[in-house]
Amino acid sequence: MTAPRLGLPNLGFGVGLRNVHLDHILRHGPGVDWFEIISENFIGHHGYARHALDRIRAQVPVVMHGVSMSIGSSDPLDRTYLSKLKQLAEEIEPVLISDHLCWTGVVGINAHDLLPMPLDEPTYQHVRQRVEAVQELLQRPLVLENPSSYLQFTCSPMAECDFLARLARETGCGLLLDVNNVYVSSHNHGFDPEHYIRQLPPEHIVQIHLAGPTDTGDLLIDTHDRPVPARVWQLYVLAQQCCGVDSSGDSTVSTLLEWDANIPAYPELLIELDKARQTLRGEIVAPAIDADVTPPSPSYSTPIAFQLREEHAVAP
Amino acid sequence: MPSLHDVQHWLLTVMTTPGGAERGAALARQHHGLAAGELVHANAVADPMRRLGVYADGYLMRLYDCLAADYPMLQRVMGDDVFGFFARAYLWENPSHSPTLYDLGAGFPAFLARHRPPQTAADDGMWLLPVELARFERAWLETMRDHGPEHAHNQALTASPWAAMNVTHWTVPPCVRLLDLKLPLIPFWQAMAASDEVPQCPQSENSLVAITRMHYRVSAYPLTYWQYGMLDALRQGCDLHQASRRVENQDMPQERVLADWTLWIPVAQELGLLVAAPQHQRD
Repeated sequence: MTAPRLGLPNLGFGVGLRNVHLDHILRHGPGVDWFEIISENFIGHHGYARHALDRIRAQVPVVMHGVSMSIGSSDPLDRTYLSKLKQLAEEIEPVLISDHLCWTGVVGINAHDLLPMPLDEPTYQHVRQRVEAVQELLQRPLVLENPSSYLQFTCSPMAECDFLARLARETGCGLLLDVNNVYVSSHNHGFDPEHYIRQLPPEHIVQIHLAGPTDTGDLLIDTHDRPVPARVWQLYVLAQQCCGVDSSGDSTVSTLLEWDANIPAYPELLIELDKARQTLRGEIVAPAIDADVTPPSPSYSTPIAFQLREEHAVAP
Repeated sequence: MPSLHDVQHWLLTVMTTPGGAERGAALARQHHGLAAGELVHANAVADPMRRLGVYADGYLMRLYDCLAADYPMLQRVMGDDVFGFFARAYLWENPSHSPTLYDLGAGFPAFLARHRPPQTAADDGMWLLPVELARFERAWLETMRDHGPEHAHNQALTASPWAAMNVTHWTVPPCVRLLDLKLPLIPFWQAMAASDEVPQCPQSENSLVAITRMHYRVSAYPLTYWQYGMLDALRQGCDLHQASRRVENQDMPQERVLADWTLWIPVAQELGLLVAAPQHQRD
């Protein structure tokens, strides 16, 4: 067991819990060290998915990952949402609660997308006081993920990595480092992804996300619909190296594989997750290629398959 | 330097304006006095409009796909083009105000009902079908998610109607939806589920339906007038006596209602339509 970071343990290797896999997991076991759920999928949900979650969380730890906190919005914090989030956390006892450094809407409208902010001093102070307010309400450190982005505002004198690093140091919040998002944004905006990762305070990084993006020919889009490309594996190794190893030589930060569209069968998902273990052991991940190039076409800027309808017929 | 609110309002206008990012950017410039080229970085990878297009295209696609996922049979009945026309109009008129996409399609049945094409009679089956089917599919989705009867401890009663007679307080689980439809949709729904073909539109006819859940499986059952009335009254807080008074009529006096009710209770329990109220609710 490695030393807790911000009081949070290294959970090992996990995947995002998706409806299509529930039956398999209940029949054959988790096959992973832990799961991440999308918080909004379970707020107010008292059906089969919740029943399955209750059975699964009796076997392995679960963390809650949200997409609607809108920590960067200029709207007031949604206290109703936050109280429901807290209620869910009291019921399912997640190891941690995370969301994204982004805004999802304004003037009461939710775009259901992880939208970029202008990164300047007023925005920083705004986000900082909101993170502190959320941590006060939840009575635990909030964990924030770096999102993928497709535009940067000209009125942004701060780099995202510096913004996040300062936020973590000054509020005590945790960081969910999505190395795929670093890869996507670095390509789209032309910055050095390794510099980005090295700028983050490693003692605040409590989780790492892996996923596969789509190359549309110009922009990379964070589609979570394919295997992790070689460059993301390289960044993953760097991120784990930055966070250090324990006395046994093992990594110290929890790893999670996300897959939200064209979702493979559960055993295939576990094979992809196992590449993370192989990569950390220094074994070569094959094939060593970058993301497939897909002709430019409209793509989700944020995948939402995890929020789509459940199957009608489910086995209890 | 524009404020955070101005920048966010500007981007939301660009993303959500019907017609895509170009039209959105033009409208956002009019409303907020901010131009895409001045606000968004360009580099060799992509220009500002391409970048804004990712968010604008994604916005509509994401919400449209959620609506299509919530109304799969409606989409089959209407066809992709007609469904897409109404879905896009609905999304433009009703942007999401909820943290969860589950709420997105809640108003779609009412939206369809409000937008009856001109020169179409209100009882025209071809028009009623999408409206009533949308109500049916939404109810199905709600039944999947709401509190069900799975944790109720009254299933031992199902073996005997005589045991049920000792229970005077019944509740309808929150997940049960009672529908008063203008078309007989259950056979239509079953035919849709069994085949890729879209069956003939059913003849107009009043139909009372319960959508219910048992062991996390959702199903639909036809109800008689008095069954629907009793369940509806119980849901509104009536006790058995009050409920049966509501339902009674010349053809079915209160005593007959209560007698039939007692015989029907085991069936209703098996279907997940009823659970015995917890002791504290009976006291």
